[in-house]
Amino acid sequence: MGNKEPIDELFRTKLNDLEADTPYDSWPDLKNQLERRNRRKRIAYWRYSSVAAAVLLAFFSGYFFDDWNDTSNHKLKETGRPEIEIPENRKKDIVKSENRSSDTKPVQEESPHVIYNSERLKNDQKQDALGTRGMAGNNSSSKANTTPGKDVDKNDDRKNSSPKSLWAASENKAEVRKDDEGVSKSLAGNSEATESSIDESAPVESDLSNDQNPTSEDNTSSDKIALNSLPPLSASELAEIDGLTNKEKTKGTNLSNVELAVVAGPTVPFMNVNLKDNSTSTQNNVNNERLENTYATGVKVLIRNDRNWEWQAGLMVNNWVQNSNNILLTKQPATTSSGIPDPNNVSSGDVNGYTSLGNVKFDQNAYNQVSLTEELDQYYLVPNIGQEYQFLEIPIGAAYYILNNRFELKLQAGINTRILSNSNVYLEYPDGTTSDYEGLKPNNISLQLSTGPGFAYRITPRLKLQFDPMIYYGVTPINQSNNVETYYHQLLFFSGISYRF
Amino acid sequence: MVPDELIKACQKGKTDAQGELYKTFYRKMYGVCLYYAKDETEAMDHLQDGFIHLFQKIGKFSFQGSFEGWMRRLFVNLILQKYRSKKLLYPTGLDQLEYGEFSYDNIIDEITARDLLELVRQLSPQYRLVFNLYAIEGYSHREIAEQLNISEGTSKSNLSRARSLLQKKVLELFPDSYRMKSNGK
Repeated sequence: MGNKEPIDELFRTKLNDLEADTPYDSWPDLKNQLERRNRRKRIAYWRYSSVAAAVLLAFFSGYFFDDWNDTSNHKLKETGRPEIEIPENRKKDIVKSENRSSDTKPVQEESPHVIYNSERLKNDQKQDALGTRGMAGNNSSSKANTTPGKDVDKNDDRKNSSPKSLWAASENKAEVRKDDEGVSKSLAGNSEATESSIDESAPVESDLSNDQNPTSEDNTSSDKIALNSLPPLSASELAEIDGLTNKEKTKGTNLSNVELAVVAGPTVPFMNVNLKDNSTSTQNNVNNERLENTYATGVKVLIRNDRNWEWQAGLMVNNWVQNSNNILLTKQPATTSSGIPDPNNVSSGDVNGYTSLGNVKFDQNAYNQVSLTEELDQYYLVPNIGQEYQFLEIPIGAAYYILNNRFELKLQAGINTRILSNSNVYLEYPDGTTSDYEGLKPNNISLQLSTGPGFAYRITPRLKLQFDPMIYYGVTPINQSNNVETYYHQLLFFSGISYRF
Repeated sequence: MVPDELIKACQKGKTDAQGELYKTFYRKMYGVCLYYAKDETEAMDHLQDGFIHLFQKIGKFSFQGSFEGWMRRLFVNLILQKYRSKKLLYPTGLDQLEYGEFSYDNIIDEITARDLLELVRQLSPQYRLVFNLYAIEGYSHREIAEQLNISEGTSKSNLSRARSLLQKKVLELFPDSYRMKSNGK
C-alpha cells in the first residue's frame, strides 16, 4: 500500500464504498445479451460436438461393422477390386495345373481382375455331383452344352471372369465337353473310371470349351486325366468365394457402393445485389453490409454408380451472418389520392431505406433509432442491423472420379436446396444493447448450383479422409424485395471422414 | 454476504440467479465503474461488460475469500484491459506541481462523492487509473506497472502528478482545506 497521502485518504473514504443507481435498468439488455451469447455457445457446441461425434461414429463403426480379416484378404489394387486369395489346400493343385496349361490360357491370363460367377460354379458342381457330366457320350445335358452357339454365348459372358484359382476346374470342364463330343477316347475311359466315385471327385465345370479356345486342342490326354483328378471345391470354399465376389461387386445396388460422409468446414460468403432503383442511399446501404465467415456441417450419402461416377445426396446445416452499418433512411413520401408516391409530400412519420434483404422502416421521431444527417430528408439508422440465418440444406449431385486409387480426385457438381430454418435479426445500439427486429426476412427456399473438386485419402478400404472445396452459386434470389434482388453465394471448405459400408 | 447457492446457480448459468446477483451488486459495481469512467455512459458500458465478464468467469470462483472482493477485482481488471486495448495509456513525464500541506478534515463532511467523481474524471485516463488503483484499490506501484504495462517509475510519477492535480482542484473547490491546515501551523 505504501504511505498514503491525505488526498488519497479523501478519495478512498468517499469513493471506495460508493454505491449509485444506474440511469436506467440495464438488466433486460444484459439478460438479452447473455441469452444471445448462450445461444451462440450452444450452436458452437453443437457444431463441434456433431463433428466430433461423427468422427467417433465413423471410427467405431469401422470397429463394429468391418471384418478387417476379410478386407485384408482382398487388398484393393488400382482398380479398387480384390485379388481373391486361394485356399491353401488348393494352391498346390492349381500351381500344377497352371504349369501344365499355361500355354492353353492366353485369353484368361490377360484379365487379372475378374468377377467369377460362383453361382454357376456351384450349379455346375451340383450337376457333377448328380452324375450329369463327366460321363462319356451318354449324358444329355452335356450334349446340350456342345451346341456351338450356346457355348459361344456362355464363353463371351465369362471368359474374362474366372480367377486364376479356378483354372484347374475350368480344365476339367473343357475335357468333359470334348469327351461328350467323342473327340477323346482316353477321356471317355477316364470318365467311366470315375463314374463309381462321382460324389467325391466330380470335376468342376468351367465355361471354357475347346470350341472357343483353340489352343486347348493341343492338350494331351494325360494332362486331361491329371486335371480330372483335382478335388472339387468344398461348400465352404464356394461360400467364401461367393461372399468375396458379392462384397466387391461394383455394379448394382450392393451396399458396398454406399458411403456415408460427415463433413464440416468454414464458409466464405459473398453476394451480388442487383439494384432495381438507382438510389444512392440504397447503394450506400448495400456497400455498408459486411458478411462474416461462418461454418457449415452435415452428412452426405455417396453412391458409386460405377468406377467413375458417383451420386450424392446430403443434409447440411449452413449459417449466414451479415451486418448492416450506417444505413441511410429517407422520408417515406406520402401517397397521392390515387395511391402514387408523391416525392413532394414527406409528411409521413416513417423513414425507410433498402438493404440487400429488403426495406427497413423506422419512426423518424424515435431519436434513439434514427439521426438526421446534413440532408434534411435523410437519416442515419443509429443501431446496426445484425442478421444471423441458419439454413437447412439438401444438396444433390454427381461426381466424376479422375483419380481412383488410395488418393482420389473427383469433380463434383449439383444443386443445393436451401431452406431457412432459423432467423435472428436484431438492432445493435452503440452502447452494446440489442433488440429484436422483425423487418427483414430472407426467402424460405432458394437454390444454388454447386461445384468443386473433391480430394480424398483412403486410410483403410472403408475409411477415407476427404477435403471438398466447393462453391455454391445462388441461382434464385434470397430476398423478397422489388427494389433489390440479392443472390447469396458461398465458398465452402468441407473436410470430413467417410465410411464405406 | 452472498449465499453460496446463488453463486452455484449462476455457475450453472441459471438466468434467475444471474438476475438476483445483478440486483445485489449492480449499485456497488456501478460505483466502481463511475470513478474509472470518463462519464456515466462509459460507466454503464463498464457495468454491462463487467457483468457479462463476471457470468463468463464465475465458474472459476472457488468460494475462498470474499466474493464481492473477487468480483470487484474482476471488474477493475476488465476496465484496465479495455483501456489497454484502446491504447489510451501513454507515458507522461510532466513535472510535479508543488502545493502546500493538504488536510481534508474540515471538508470531509462538505465534499460529496459526486464532487470527487467530477474531479477524478477530469484526469487523463492514465492518471485516473494510476490514482484509482493506488489510492482506492490499494495496488502497489509494482502491481500497477504490471497491469498497465508501464514502469514502476512511470507509475510513481503519474501518481504524483495526479495527486497534485486533484489537490489543486480540491483547493479550488474548497479553499479552506489548505488554509485551515496552514492556519493550524
